[in-house]
Amino acid sequence: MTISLRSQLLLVFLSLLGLILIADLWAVSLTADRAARANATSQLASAEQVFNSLLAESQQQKTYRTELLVADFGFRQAIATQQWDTLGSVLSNHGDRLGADLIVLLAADGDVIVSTHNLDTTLPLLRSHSQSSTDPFKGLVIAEQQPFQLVMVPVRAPNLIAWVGMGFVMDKALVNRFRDISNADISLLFRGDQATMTGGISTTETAAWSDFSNVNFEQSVAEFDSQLRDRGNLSRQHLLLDSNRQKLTLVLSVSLTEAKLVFHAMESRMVAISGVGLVLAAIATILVAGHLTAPINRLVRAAERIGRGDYEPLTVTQGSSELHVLSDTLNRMQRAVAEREQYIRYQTLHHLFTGLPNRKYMHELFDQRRLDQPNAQFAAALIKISNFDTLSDVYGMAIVDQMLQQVAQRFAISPTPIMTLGLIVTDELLLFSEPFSSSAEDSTQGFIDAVTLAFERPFLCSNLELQCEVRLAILLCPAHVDEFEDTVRRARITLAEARRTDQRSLVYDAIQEVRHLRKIKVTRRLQQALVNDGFSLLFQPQYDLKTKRVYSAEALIRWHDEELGLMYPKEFIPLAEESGVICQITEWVFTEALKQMLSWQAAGYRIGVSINLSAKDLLKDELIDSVIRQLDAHDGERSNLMLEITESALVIDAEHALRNLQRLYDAGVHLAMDDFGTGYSSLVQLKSMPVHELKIDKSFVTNLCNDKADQQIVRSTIDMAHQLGLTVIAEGVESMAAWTLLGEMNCDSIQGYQLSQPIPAPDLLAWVDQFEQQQLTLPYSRAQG
Amino acid sequence: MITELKKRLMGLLLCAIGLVQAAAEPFTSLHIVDLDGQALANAVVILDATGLGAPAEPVSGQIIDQKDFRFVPQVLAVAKGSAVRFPNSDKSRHQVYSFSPAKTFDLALYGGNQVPKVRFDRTGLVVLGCNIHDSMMGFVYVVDSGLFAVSDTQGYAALPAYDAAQASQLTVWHAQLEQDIQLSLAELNALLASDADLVLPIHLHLEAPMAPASDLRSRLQGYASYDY
Repeated sequence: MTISLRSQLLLVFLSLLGLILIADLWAVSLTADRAARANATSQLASAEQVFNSLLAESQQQKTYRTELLVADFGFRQAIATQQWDTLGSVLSNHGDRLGADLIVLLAADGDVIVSTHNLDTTLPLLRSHSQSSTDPFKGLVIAEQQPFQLVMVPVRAPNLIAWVGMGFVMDKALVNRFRDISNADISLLFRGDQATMTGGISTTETAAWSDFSNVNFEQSVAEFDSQLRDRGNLSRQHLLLDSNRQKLTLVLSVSLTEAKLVFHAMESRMVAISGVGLVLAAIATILVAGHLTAPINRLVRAAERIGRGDYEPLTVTQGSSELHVLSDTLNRMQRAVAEREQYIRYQTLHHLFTGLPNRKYMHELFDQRRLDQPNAQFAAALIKISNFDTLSDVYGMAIVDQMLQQVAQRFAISPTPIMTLGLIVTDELLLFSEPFSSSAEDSTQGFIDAVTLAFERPFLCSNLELQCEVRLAILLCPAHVDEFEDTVRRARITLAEARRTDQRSLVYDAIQEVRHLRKIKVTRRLQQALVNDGFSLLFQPQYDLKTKRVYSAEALIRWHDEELGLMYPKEFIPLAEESGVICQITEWVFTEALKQMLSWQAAGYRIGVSINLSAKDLLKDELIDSVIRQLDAHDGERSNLMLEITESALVIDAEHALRNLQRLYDAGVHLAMDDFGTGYSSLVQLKSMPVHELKIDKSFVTNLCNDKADQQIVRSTIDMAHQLGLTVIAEGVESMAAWTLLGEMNCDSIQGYQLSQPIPAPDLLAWVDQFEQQQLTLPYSRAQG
Repeated sequence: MITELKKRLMGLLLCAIGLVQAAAEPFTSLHIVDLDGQALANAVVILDATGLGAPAEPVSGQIIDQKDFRFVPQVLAVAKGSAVRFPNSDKSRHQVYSFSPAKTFDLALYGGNQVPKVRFDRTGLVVLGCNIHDSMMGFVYVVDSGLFAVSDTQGYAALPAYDAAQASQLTVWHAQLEQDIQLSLAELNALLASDADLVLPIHLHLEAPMAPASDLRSRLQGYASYDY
């Protein structure tokens, strides 16, 4: 996956900035937390100081007021009466004046005279004070599960007559007032004479005080404290009273949450600033990335354009100097690429050494013409330089290349309508005429004449005079052909036809292609037939005129193809020779015929076979090897085997053919020279060829009875053969007269319809039996089978 | 009309407290209420007869008792020169005093009845207190007219018989009034003729001026170590 530059920049900058901001926020939050905690702690410390001084002041004030009250004459007088109703009423009256909640009157000796509360656990303290001091007593006490500020002052009249104690309950109103001044929540936890009960007063919301009634007071306090902390408070404890089972603990607390509130505002601002910062950074990054990527994108588009082959120069008007350098480099690069491309294009469309347009160029030209002028008629000529090999062998390729260039020049300056010449194969030139203006026939002839003329004069290359021999195949487009490839292919077919018929120029004819296509099909089906066992053999009996018996049969191949129907050797054997499958066919025929001969002999018939060898077979050592090997496997039967060869066997490579012929001869195979008297046969060859028999061609035999010249040739040939020690067989014997005549001419044996047409192998023995039966009864009459 | 008045007079006589003069017949009764129509007791009404009629004769033997930490009666109207006794019926001792200009006195802490009479020689209001019981408050209204009365718990003040020649106006005092109210004789007559209430512009404090007994005092009983 690729990420765009902008995304990368955004990712890097924003994540970096984000990390810094998060770290900042974290640090600020940490500091704020600490500061809040520290603030709260110092708030608690000062709250405790405030509380203590408030308490002290309050007690001092109460002491003054009590002293003032006690100094009242009427009060002292009433105390002095030692009379209950007076005492009680005056104490309560004065207690009301002070707003006291607890009153205790002690005798001078410390005994309780009267009291509003049970002070059993407090009395020892008061008593010891009264006995040891004459100063007022100030302190905190617990009475009846309530905490009191207690002041006790002496009553003098003028001698000490009593101690009056005034207690002020420490209630919710008091702690609320203290809270308002100290800015901290105040809780008082206390325990008096009732050992397990913990009481409390608090400015905070608390659970029922009975929940904290642990046996251990300290644990109660700790429990209360932990609840405070659980609710987000910071607290501070101070033990205010610890005497005679009376305990009073002050717990001050402040809410940490509230302490942090101040900082929350700061944190919120910080987050807001960070957010704005991030957005600004993102915008800045996008702008910078845009500034960077815009020229890059332009370069990318330019590169894509170059990729498509559009070489307009590009300019970068904005961006950094590096981008200018890059754009210059791209411009240089695209110039170089354009030049190279032109060069490559030239090379792909022209022949390397001659500079002539090549096959691809011609192809494109053809297509372009067909596209531009679909209805225009023009001629294409495939020019085959028939002496190309000779020229290149003798003078070398460089000279031939020079010659080809001159050919091109000759066409370029030709007064005839402009033509385009291309070299499509080493020795083949393709020439397109301009569209015809006059009738197709005239134009074609003019075109042929012009081309022929161009090659008539020799070419002068490096002081050498070269004659370029050419053969032309001409096609008309689109009358004959509409595709370039078809043009070349059909021109080749036409060329082959011209070569076959030895013409210097030939115009394409559709029949050529039909023929050509048939050849291709037959060749293809031949290979199919080899695989599918599509061949069969017929045997035509051969009759010995001397011994008057059927002594052998010529094996004749037949081919019945599913698509082509019945095929005759005359058509498919030349094609088999051309495509090279002839050797495989021959081997099949040989093996099959040999098998047949062996089966006849096994049946008690002394009948041999005669097999045709093609000229190519004689050049194939492996085939000869195979024939000799098979003969060796059936030793003693080779004298019944006759191999027929034609004189043309010696045309291609006489020496090679003779060597193999000699090998067969030496192996004991009987050899016959087929089709004697036609083709290239000469007496010299007859002399050098190791054969046992001559086979007189049927062209001499068919009309033998009526043609004196044929009779002369046949008679002398028979005589000559006998002189050379060869036997003679005549084929094509189609009348009894010819039969009789050949007998008179001392011919050794005959073959032909008069004797029998070729018959299938299974029927041969029956035919032989029947023939011999007829011959016994009708020695000179022939029954056609 | 007259017989009716007589009948009412006879009824009122039976329940009148502080009737200071066996005045000549006929005398009339005034009903005093506050703004809520609530009967106002302890309101003092005086028919001003200065210089017109014979001043009232001083009367001895009048008392203001102290009972359950209260002055009983709380308001006492007396003729100038009268002496009042302040017996103490409580177990607690009291120290009765007054700083009023009409009579300044201080009866040192005492119990029972062994305290001297106090003579009120000057007209005006005398506010009574107890030095050791702040909630106690009483009033002695010293007059020199012979025609005055204090309203009873039903709000009725029985005025002695008078004639227009004797009286010029009616003065009304109540502890909650910021200042005395004066009514002309015509206004009084109109009021009486229509048998309407005399409405004072106050709202009566039900408790005032009495304070409830202190909680402290009841608690003190519980922890007294001496049985007094």
